[in-house]
Amino acid sequence: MAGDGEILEVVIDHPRLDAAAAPSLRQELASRFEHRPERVILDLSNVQFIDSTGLGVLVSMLKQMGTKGRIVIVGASPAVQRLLHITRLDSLFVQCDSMSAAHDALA
Amino acid sequence: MMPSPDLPSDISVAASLTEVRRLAEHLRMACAEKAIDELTAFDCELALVEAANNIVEHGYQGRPQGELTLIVQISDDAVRIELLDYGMPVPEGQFLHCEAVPLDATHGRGTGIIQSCVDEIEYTSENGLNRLVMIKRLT
Repeated sequence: MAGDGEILEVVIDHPRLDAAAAPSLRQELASRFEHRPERVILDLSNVQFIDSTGLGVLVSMLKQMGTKGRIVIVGASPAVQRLLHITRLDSLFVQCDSMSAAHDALA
Repeated sequence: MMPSPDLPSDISVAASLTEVRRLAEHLRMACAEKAIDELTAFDCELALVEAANNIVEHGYQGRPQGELTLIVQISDDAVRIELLDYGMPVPEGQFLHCEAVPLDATHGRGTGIIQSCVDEIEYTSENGLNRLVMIKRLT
């Protein structure tokens, strides 16, 4: 994770964001989000699989950020994109192809 | 165990969320063996994982002494995913029911995801044995 002004960058290292990984993911993100950032870039380049529980953790983090909170996802694999599409959560989580595009989206 | 042509491939694991990963790996290998395309294989894996998670968390209510059996059959026409368990059965009609989930919900998407990922769902519960069959058509 690296901070960049008011934009928090978080790299997710779990290859599988599934129900087994959810407790540790929730704990990790809770500590990184403790200062209630309003703009976050989530780098999911290392994520090969995600299920509804993993997705629920990301939604939970977005809700904790409050009404002004925005999360942009970078590096979404076809699997991640598919789940976001199925669940219509691609309307909540903007997806970008690069970190620079993500910063532009959050500017 | 690698699947053989025209023969079902099965694996049994303890009912835990970690062991669900073994089921997923087994299915991925079966799909790779049959050169199933990436997105179709992902849909199958996602449906399997959602169903298996539901069995572990609700059917067995986290009890590790339960068991889950996965049987995979892949033909030219379809991927057939069968899950067997002895936990609490799901409420009748759950897999046919389509319930809108609020966009900001953190739970409750599993059944809808399964319905989106596969073409046919059959569920029976007889004599304590629950059988969920999910079919993803390839044509």
